[in-house]
Amino acid sequence: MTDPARWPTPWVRAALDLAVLASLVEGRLHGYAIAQALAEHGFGLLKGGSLYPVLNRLEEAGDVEAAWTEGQGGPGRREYELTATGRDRLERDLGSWRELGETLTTMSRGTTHG
Amino acid sequence: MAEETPIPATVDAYEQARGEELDGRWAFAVSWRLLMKEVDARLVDEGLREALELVRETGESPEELFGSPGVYAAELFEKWRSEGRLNPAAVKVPAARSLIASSLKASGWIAFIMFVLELVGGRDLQVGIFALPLVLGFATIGGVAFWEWASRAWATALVVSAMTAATVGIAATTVVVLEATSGTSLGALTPWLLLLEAAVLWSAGTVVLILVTAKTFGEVQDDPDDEQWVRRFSGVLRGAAWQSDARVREIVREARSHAAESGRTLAEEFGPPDSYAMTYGVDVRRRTTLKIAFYAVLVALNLVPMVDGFSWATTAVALFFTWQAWKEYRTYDRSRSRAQVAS
Repeated sequence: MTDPARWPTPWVRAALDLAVLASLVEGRLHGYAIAQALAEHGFGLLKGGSLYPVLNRLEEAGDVEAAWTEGQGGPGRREYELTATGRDRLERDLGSWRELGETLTTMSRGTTHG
Repeated sequence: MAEETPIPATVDAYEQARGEELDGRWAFAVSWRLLMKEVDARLVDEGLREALELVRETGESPEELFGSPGVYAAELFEKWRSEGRLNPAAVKVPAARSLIASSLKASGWIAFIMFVLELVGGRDLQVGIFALPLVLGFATIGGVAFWEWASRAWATALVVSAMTAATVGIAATTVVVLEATSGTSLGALTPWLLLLEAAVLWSAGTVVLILVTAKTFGEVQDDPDDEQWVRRFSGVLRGAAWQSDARVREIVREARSHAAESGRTLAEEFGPPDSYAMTYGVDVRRRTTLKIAFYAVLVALNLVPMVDGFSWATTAVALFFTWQAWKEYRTYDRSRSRAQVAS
């Protein structure tokens, strides 16, 4: 039922805040839709117990905003939207991740010690 | 029996790690809660040491890293319970303790209400009045428990008859006790002794309740249905995490909405209610506000009798509550400052 993640769990956990922010770049989404977007991108289908603490943390930090939308006969949905602060953070943190990747690539090519 | 455990040394290590006395108090509070649930002392020490490592690594307070002592103790308890590391005594607590705990706490509240009424009314009451909170507390909680049990097994008329008979019996006994102690007034001491009685009963109820929590964990964690899950989850959020009713409703509504879309139960989607509730942390601001408001009411209640004349005893009690309120505010202010520095 749960799609396995493309990367090891500790990596997914480390990148989760950023992945959630990235999933909201194209517009507002509710929790379950965010989980599906993450699954589509190889993060595995996250359960609510892992996703909502992240959303709560991002909301407290002002990176996302949430608002209820009434469902048709359903219990309604709480939709999340990226804030300006969240966009800044996403850009900044993505830069750091790229830098980390580049550093690892450089290191893996090896350096010759005389 | 009096085998030495390394817990005191670990508590000291907390104080030394960042040079904060508060950290030692946090560790002590965690250990006390777990030991009261009959968790093995060595296991408690292991849990404390794990947390201490992170405190040393990050330089942050244990409260910021792991939440309040109650939250962290409950988290450790649940983790060890699911790993099967708890001794049977820590998991199985007789259900009767739950009733005793609730009855003691109810008695404490009744004694406190009587204390307030006595302060305002200023009547002269006999010694037998001190039995009243216990009688009323145990009768109320016992009555509710009896109703829940008997109404499933007996005809309603029989249950009502039994409860009516019990009420008449309790009332008659109370009247006899009050009659027997008429003319034994404690005068001006009465209200303060009632307050003392309230504190003792309430504290005793809390201690027993901590023991009972073990049973509640054991009961609910295995395979709760959605309603059991929500009850337990909401209870932990409102209680240990000090979240407001509005916030709890919102979190529960969102969890239900998510579970409905995923087609799974709340337990399957979010895991054990206690562990999930703890991820939301403690609403420190709300906890501080409510505690300070509580102390303010106690101060006001103490100042009311001063209208009739100055009293050193009343002033001392009012100052004690004011000091408690100030301590609450200082704790909050420190944690807020640390959070600002960290961000």
